[in-house]
Amino acid sequence: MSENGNAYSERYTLNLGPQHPSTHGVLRIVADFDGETCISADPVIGYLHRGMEKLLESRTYPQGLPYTDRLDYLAGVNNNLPLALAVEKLLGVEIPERASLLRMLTCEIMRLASYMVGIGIYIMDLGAVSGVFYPFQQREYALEVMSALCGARMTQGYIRFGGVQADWNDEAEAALDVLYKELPPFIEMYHKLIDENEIFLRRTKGVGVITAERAKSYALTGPNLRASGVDYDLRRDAPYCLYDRFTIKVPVQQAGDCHARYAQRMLEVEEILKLIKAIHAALKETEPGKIMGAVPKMLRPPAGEAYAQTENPKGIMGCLVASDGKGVNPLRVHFRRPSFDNIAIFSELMPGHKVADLIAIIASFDIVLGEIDG
Amino acid sequence: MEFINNIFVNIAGLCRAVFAWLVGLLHLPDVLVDIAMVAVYWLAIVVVCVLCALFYVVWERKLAGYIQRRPGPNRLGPNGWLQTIGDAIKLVMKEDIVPDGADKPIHLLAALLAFVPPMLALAAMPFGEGMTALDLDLGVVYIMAVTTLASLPVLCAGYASNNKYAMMGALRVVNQAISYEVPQALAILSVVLVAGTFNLNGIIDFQTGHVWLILLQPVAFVVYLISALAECNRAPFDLPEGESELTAGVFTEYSGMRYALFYLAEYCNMFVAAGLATTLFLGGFTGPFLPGWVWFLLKTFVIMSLFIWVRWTLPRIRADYVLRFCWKVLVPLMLVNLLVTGVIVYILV
Amino acid sequence: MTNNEVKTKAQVAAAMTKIAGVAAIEGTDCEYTVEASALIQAAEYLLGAGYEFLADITAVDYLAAGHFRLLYQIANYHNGDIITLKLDIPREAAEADSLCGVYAAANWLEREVYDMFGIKFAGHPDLRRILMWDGYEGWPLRKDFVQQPNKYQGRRRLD
Repeated sequence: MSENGNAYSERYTLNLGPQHPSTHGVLRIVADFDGETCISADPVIGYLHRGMEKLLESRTYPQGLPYTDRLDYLAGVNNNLPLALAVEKLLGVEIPERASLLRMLTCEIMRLASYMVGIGIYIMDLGAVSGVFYPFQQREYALEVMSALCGARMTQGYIRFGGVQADWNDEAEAALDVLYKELPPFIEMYHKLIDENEIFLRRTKGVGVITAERAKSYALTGPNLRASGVDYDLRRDAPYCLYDRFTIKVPVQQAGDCHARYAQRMLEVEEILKLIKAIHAALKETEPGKIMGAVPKMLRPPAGEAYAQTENPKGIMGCLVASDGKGVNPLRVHFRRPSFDNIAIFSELMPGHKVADLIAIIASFDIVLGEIDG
Repeated sequence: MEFINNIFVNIAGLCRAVFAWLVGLLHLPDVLVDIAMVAVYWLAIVVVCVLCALFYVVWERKLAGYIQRRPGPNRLGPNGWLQTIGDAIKLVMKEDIVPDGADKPIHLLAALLAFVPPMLALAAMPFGEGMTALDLDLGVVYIMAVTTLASLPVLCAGYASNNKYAMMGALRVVNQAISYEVPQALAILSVVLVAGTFNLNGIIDFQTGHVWLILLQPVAFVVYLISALAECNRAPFDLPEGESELTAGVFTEYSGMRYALFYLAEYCNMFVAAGLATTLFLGGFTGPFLPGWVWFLLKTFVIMSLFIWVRWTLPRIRADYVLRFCWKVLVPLMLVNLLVTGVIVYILV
Repeated sequence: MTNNEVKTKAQVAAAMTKIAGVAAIEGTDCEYTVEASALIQAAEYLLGAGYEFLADITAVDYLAAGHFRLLYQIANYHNGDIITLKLDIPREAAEADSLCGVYAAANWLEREVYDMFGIKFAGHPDLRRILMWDGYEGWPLRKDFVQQPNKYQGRRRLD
């Protein structure tokens, strides 16, 4: 109960989710409200927990790889990569150049697809439902490339231990050309449609401000971190695969509010397109055929623990693999999921905002529940 | 063309003649003719209103589809135009769920009462030449008073549902409805000041004699449309039914036929607002070549399409901005407009 | 604590080995075994040395050897250096100090380790289950975890 002068108002608890059109999956936020203002917020997760880490302990290494696609299911190949890198670190195997380039190319294409979902759903959650259909059309072009390359649109399982599953072909080349043609006019149109929209600016500017200090302490990563002014991108600062061959420009926003996170993603989309073109050009210079390194049929990595990190669309994904040296199953596989760490900040960020702002904040973080719950 | 223009007036005249003959034949009091005519008018308004609502259900979905690069409903009927029949059948066949702790009589009553304000308002709406069921001298004031009632059934629905989301939606409805009455009234007042009469047919006569009032009162037109959107709970003001925030907001606990009633009532409210906009600003039923009532329907169609276009393009406004926008922007703007209009009218007349 | 200077791995190694209870692992230049008592001190040093990014806290159940191994991956926001701290704790008394006072990210990471392994973190402000529901019994990721068969709880009546 609070007293505003002579007015009597009661605190009440509202459950946002788990069944809710705007929580990006089964996220539940137990929030206390005083009128329309949030006083406390507690995210409750685990509605999509499938026990992936426990499952992987009873599968062989190659059997466990397709499970990882289901973590961030919007960008399947990006999740295969940390597991592959960690196991390859334990095995000490070398990846052929073409395989590395293919890995990078598919990761960037699915990164683009994931960003399209992120910004489309963002504007849909703010109320402009039509704004989701245009990015999804671009996502279709990206998924066409993946479908032509490895046969699967969403959860590809394309990256394998030692290399990749299939080689680049003409169909994928044609689909990629379509993407090159269609994406730049879309970006321009979307900028014109959304950027100056008064309602959009009112809803997102100054909402959910995260300072660089809090972002770093809460281990935020990815576009959310870069929108708060911290200039860190693993592809440029800690290159894996062959990222050190390419110049990667990393945009950074300073405001740290919902609008900055939107602007950050839009700028990064342009950079991703340039990177895709560069990787594609480098790919065409390598000889076709060599897409798999020398990896034994039954993988028995020596005893030890290895941790590998990659820059995923949602943030930094890490994979810890512990092997006991004897079995074909891993002893322990653990995933450092970016969205999991990203939403820990909600209980500090949400109080003081209105209901509509809570939705805007969740949407601006671009989370995916498959990743949070594992 | 004269015949088609007056076809409904003639039909009404025919009905009156038949009733008068019946009354004369059966030696009943004469007042029964009037009562029978009231019933006929009411029936006609209900039919028109419901038919328009059914049409706009499909049109909204098709227009939304075209805006979103997809075809919209295109299965049922030629190019999808019979979609509403499918919708109606589906909603009727659904289970009628009323939550345990809900206030059952008010739960049902709210859905039924949602139709009353638009019907009352349409009684005074000039559909064509001589086609006003209730040609009141204070027609504008009457319609304003009656459209205010449109938010009450929504408030009852939110209260009766025993659901926090619904309660929040109901509170937002009251907020919006009360606030946006003021700029709407001021906009209408500006028009009345120029036209010199509260009578709707009189305002149309003024526009026939001079020029369409949208050219004389453009600001009032825009503000009236914005207020109408807010009164009808349409995006960008659709917080009461804030779909992505409060699941279905006020209508969370309504399913099946009860939801259908609210859904249709929303289109009826929009039709009333569009009808009033065409009458006040676009010259009502006047126009060359075609019959009057056809022009009325065409003009309301244009305004309704504008409403639909705005809904599917703009994001939703936050609750406190809704009020801030109303009281800090629209009301001062309309007061200034009223002042300027008054001064100009005084000088020129 | 902001520190624009990130110490290199060699500088970190020199300072870390000076802390009592911290020993560098042979063959690597960024992995350390830590005693339970030295954990917070090591973490505070790393935070001050510019390693502000607590990437991961996780545990591995070495059932055969009879201990849990807690792994802390602490990185920085400038380059790719990741300092790994390994802490072995006995399975019977599975407890460790909480890093919530040093890194805010430790809150949810430690809750996940508690939920999956039953390792308690002393000083954690809100240690409760995060992925499993509140009434769940058992620690799922332990190697000796036997899942309870699903119990029929009967039909819940509102009276």
